[in-house]
Amino acid sequence: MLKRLLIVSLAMGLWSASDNARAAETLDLRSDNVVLVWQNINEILLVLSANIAMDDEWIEGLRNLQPDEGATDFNVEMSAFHEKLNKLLSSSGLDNLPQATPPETISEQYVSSGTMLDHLVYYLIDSDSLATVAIYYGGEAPQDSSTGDIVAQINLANQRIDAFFEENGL
Amino acid sequence: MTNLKISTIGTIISVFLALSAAAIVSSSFMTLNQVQQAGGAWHDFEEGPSRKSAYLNGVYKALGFGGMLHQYKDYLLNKERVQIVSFFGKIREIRVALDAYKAIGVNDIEEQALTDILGVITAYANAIQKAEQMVKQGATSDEIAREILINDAPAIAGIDVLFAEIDKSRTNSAVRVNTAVEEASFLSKTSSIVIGLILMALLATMIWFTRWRLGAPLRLLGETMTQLARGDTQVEVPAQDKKDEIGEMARRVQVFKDSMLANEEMAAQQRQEAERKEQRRIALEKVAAGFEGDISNVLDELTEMSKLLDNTSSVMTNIAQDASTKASSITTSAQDASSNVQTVASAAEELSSSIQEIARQVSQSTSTASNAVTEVEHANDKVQGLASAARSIGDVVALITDIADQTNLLALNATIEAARAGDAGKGFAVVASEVKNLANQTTKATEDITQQINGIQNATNDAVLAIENIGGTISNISEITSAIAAAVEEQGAATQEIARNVELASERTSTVNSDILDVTYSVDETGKAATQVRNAVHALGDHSNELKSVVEGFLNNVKSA
Repeated sequence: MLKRLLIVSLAMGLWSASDNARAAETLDLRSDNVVLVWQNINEILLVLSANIAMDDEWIEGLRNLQPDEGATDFNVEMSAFHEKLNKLLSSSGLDNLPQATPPETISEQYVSSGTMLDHLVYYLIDSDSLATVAIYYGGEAPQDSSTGDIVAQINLANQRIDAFFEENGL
Repeated sequence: MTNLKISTIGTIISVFLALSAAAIVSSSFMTLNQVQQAGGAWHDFEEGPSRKSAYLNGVYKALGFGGMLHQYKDYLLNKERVQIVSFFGKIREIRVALDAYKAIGVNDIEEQALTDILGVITAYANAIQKAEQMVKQGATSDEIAREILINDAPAIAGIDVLFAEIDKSRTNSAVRVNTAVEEASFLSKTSSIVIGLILMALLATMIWFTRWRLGAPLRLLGETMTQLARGDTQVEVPAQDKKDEIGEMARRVQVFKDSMLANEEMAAQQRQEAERKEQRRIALEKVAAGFEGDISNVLDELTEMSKLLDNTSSVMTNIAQDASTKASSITTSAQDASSNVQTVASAAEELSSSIQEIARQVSQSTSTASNAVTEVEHANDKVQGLASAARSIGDVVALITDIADQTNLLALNATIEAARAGDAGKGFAVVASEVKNLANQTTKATEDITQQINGIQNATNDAVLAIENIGGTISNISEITSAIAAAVEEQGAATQEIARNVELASERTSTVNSDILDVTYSVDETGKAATQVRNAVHALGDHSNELKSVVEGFLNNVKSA
């Protein structure tokens, strides 16, 4: 019950943040849009982890993780998460991510990241029949993000999915 | 213009042609520039309105007016969460398309329209999130509809505006392309006309130049040269008064004509000379033909003779070689015969000397035999005397024997008497014994002497017989020796005859040797002479051929002269 409340509170937090994000929407796609996608991916990973967590402190530990300072290469981090997400999808018998060339522009990064978000949502839907999904497509977009911020978010997602694998015995 | 030189006119035409070429090149560059401008306008159209149109179509399709975006409530109510994910995927596609559209470059109207579309899209995204919460709280479709109102009009209007702007942009691009193409076309037409006119003018000038300015005088000059070439030296050379190259050429043709006239005169003289030479050549040909026949016969005979001589010399050479071989053989045989004769002569001489020695020895033997007969007779006499003396000794010995016998008897008587005398007679008995011994010894010696005398007598008789035999033998030897001497004498005479004949044969063999050496020398000389004759014959053949070649050359020269 406590977990359910935690999950709802996580989702509601995200919902309340999405109201604030409306004003930040601009015509141009920027790193902020990509960072927002990865923030949503991290939220889903936290929700998935909360679903299997036996210890609230572990969830808090995952939430308080800091990105690895040595992570600077977008493609390396993307490739690692791509592989891990496929592993996760395969564990539930879901289709793997389509093969993609390393993205170069912000638009390509946005599309690739969005595709990973979609597949992670598929996993969420598969594992939780009551889970809402629209909430993970909104949220508060950061301001003046850089490529480093994107890499940091991907690195956090890699750390959290690793912890999920460990906790889930995958 | 008519007084200008051809080279000057050619230079003028070349300058105009160069100017025309420059005009063509310039026109081509200008046309190319216009075409590039048209291309640039088309490229801008491709990169601008065309791509914008594609992105806008993508937005229109993703929005799916009357379609997917308006179904979100049903998705939520039917728990079709996969469709919700697809919904947000469409939202993402629209975001990317709007971003790409703006990146191409937009004006204020377009930016406003894009913002309006983005606003509607964002409203949908927010609406679905809110509706999801309402569905979760049990809200119905009507409740959701009442709570969430989305005005699509700004997006629809924005899309219309964007299509209108794209049309404007497309029209502008088309106008730019058309303008550039029209300008290029105009430039191309204008330059083509101008260049065509220039080329036509140049062509007309070329026709005038080639046909009238250059062609007509050249044609007249050509006809004149043709007549001159046919030998018509009476024709007048035209255009000599012109100042240009044709006038100069005409004046040179006149020089050519003058030369032809001089050549005609010279040709007449040459014809006469040629006729004279022809007559001389015919005469020479006749002489040469006769000479050729004669010399050909002579050369043929000479060739036949040289062949005959060659054969004869070959035969001579062979005979000489054969004779030389036989002479060498005879020389060897004669030398052998001479050597044998000399050997026989030496043997005959030695034989003669030997016979003489034998004769001398035989004569000496005969003399010795005669002496031996004499000596034998003398020895026979001596032996007869010895036999006679032996017989005398026998008589003495018989006497001595008688004396000894008587002495012995006396001694015997003395002994008897001494015995009778007793002791007194002992000394006498000893003397009587000694006398007796002496008488016995005398008797014995006498017997020995008798025996010796008998032996001497026997030997003497034997000697007499032997001497007689020796005498007979020596007589026989003497007779034989005489016969031998006679025979040896005859042999000596025969040997001397042989020696004389052998010497004569030796002398003749030497003569034969000498003669054969002379013959060998002569044969060698004959061989050399035959070789020289053969070489001479070959040389004669070569000279004959050379003479034939020279004669033929001479005759050919005579004929061709």
